[in-house]
Amino acid sequence: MPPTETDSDKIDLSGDLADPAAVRVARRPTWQHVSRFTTIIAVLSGLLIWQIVSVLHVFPPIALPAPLAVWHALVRLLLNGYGGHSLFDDIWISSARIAVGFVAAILIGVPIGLLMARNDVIFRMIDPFLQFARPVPPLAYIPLLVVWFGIGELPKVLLILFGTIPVIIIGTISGVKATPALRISVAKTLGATEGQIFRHVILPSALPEIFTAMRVGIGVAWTCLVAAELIAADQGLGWLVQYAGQALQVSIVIVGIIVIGILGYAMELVIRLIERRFVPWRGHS
Amino acid sequence: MPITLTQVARDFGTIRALDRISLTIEDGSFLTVLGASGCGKSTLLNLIAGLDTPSAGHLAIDGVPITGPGPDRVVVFQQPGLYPWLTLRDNIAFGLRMQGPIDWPRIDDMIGIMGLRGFEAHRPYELSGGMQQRAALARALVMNPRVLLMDEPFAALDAQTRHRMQSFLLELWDQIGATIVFITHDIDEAIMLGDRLVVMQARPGRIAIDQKIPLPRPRHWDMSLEPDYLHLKRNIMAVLAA
Repeated sequence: MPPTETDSDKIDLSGDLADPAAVRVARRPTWQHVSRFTTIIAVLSGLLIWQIVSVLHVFPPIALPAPLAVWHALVRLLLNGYGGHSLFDDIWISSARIAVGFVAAILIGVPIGLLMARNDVIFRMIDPFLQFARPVPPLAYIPLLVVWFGIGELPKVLLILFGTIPVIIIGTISGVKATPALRISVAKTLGATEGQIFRHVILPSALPEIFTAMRVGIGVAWTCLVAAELIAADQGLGWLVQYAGQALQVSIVIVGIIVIGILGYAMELVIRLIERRFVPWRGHS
Repeated sequence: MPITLTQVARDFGTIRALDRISLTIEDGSFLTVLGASGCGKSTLLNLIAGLDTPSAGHLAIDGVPITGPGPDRVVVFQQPGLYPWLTLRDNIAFGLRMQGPIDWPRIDDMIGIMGLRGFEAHRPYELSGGMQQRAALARALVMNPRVLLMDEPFAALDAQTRHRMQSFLLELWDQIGATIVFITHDIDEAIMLGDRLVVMQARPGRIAIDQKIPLPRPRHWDMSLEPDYLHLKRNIMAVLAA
């Protein structure tokens, strides 16, 4: 090391070298509390408005039952079930259908998206089918699925798979394409091969968008579920809503909708938890 | 290991970014390349790095043509380009991991030299800009490159950090003895760091000045007030203003 002539020439890193713990980005708990409080107030206000509107008989009670009536319907559903089985059976079977269809969509969709993003020939082969399938509403597949696969669980799961896989594929492709060029240049100059760049740079770079696609996809999956349970189902939340609707039991319909909404939200939260585990850098790059 | 550029040109569409540049960069020298944005200095660096190919002419290192990037010519970019999914230590080890087994003692030595000890387990986004750029420099240096290519590496840092990093680089260069090609748009940085200075002009990108820097080493910022320095700076400013 050459002798330095004055202090100003010395490497002074002290400014940066404070306590490492202090460098960690501080969270702002106060704001989180405020926003959570806001959410609770909004939900309670919604319930209150609903109660007022139904008490004022703006709509006939058969069309818009009061929140309390819906609550009683829920309790009855929990105690006695509906259509010969309990609400938990409906929740279980619907969740299982979603899980199988959605996980299959991820397991098949992510690799297809990666291949399409990486190989132009594969992209040109699959893209027309993808663009064709995307705008087709899931309901339109039902007759075909019934003819081909009967009325068991397979066509229901396949419907969810078909409905969600375009979202996953497109999200994966866009995640790969969004990899910053600098990250790839850095790896190249450090002597990484094409395969290493894909595995160690592009794949992790695509993860945030893949997770976004999964969060969008889980919503689509629940949309498809109601359609899927039009196929000769005798249980499931989609079936519950349709069956109770035909019997004009609006309270039960509303219970079904609320349970679907809560479950969908819960599944999205689970994906967010997994995302936080695997993509802790999200929002920092 | 001299780097030779022979009549190197690079066109982007109808725009000639570099016009028949010939240049020999001696082994172990510190070359600074100065120019305004758009003069082709980064294009020049990318060609030497092998990230880009020339439209005409050829580049060689030790007589061997440059056909692509290689770990013998590592680049430090203006942005650190660290991977947010890796810890600081794993970022610095990234290049070695791509080559084979990692020499961890070497990584940890480099972390110490760079003044990053205690931050090994941190993610890049938890570090200051200066620390991130030191990590990027460490990641390049553990490869033991013969040539270090630096593309305005300190341009995004604040003035004080930049000043510290410049002094730091000079000391480091004294120890590692690699050839450095340093791109900058800062006149003082170009004069203060290099042995030899190339000033480029735009449209088309070409070399306007190529001369030795007549300052002794070790360098010190007081030198920027001496007649030789000011004379050189005046010449450069005249060329850049032209």
